[in-house]
Amino acid sequence: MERVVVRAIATGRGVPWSVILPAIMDASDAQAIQAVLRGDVDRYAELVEKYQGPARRLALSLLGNDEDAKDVSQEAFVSAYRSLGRFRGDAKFSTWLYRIVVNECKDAYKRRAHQPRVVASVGEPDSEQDGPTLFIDVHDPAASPGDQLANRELGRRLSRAIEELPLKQRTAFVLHHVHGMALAEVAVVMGCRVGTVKSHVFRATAHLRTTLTPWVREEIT
Amino acid sequence: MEFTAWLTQWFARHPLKAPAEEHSTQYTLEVMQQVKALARPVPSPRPTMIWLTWPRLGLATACTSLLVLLASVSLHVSTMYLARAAMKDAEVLEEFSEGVEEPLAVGEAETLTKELELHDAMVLAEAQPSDEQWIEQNLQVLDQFDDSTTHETTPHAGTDAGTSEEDLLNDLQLFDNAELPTTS
Repeated sequence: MERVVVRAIATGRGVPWSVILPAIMDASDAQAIQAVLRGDVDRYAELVEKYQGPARRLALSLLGNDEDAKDVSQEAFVSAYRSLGRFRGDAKFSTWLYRIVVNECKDAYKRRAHQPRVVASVGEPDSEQDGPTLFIDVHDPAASPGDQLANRELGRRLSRAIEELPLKQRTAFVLHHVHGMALAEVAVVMGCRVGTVKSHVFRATAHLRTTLTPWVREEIT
Repeated sequence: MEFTAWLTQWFARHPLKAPAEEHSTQYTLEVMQQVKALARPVPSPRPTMIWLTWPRLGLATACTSLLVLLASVSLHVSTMYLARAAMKDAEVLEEFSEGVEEPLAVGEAETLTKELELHDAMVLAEAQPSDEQWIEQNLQVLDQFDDSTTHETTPHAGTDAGTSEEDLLNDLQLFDNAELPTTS
């Protein structure tokens, strides 16, 4: 069955959507997409409800601003709806949506015409540096006040190190390490080869190691 | 602990923040408002640009094959043009050389032989004498010229050759003596 579906995707004919979609992606996603394509537009709200969190967090981790992340992720959902007829189902809907989100983030950079001051930030809100919007929860009630302070400082320095990365390295690193995507999925989202993703992640990690080693020397040695 | 492992562990301990739940419904409503303003998406009958998913090696091979085909076709066309020009030239030459290449009749060959013999005889008659004859003739002419010059010098032939030389030297000396005072 799977082989038939793969062949059908490769040739683009012979097998209807009802056969292709459930075999490749989540069944509820496939049903919602089929319903939307049949004309039941309200079913698209199910997909928005389900994936707005990840999409918004991804945009936030790349843009570093909650308002921008909300706008960009909403634009991504609208773009996905427009292109839903061309969605072949050879990847998960979430992967396809993340790719659109990443592209919308790139467009957001171009619209700003300059790099964001802080692109990604981790750590607790800080009154002294209230620019970054947080996407990592470093608050740990069980930790001692000293550890919480250290975590906050480490998060701030990590944010700066991620901010210094080039856009492609930053995207690959955030998708792989922060969002926990596999390298192959990152390659699909970024539209490049797995080897290229590995290279981006390796260079980004090397930069972070150089920057953060003095602060985490005790933990990594 | 290696840095990468520590980094992964750190991010695992500190997960991504989730958006506030109270904004979730509003978020969805805003998206759906924009979506309903758009036309309904229509499923495409077949995937568009499916060839882009092919391996790049295949695409590169196809492009290279196309280039080689175009190059060979253009080379063939240019060669054909040259071949046609050569064929035309050959046809023209063939038209001109048709009469010459016909074999001669027997009578015509005999006539042509006689004409050639006559031509050879005329050439031999008009030919220049040999070098020895030419040298002899010139020597004779020179002898005759020497004889005539000796006859012309006979009025002064009363004295011998030595006296004539002495006279000539005396004349030159007199001439020099006459010239020197004038120059000084």
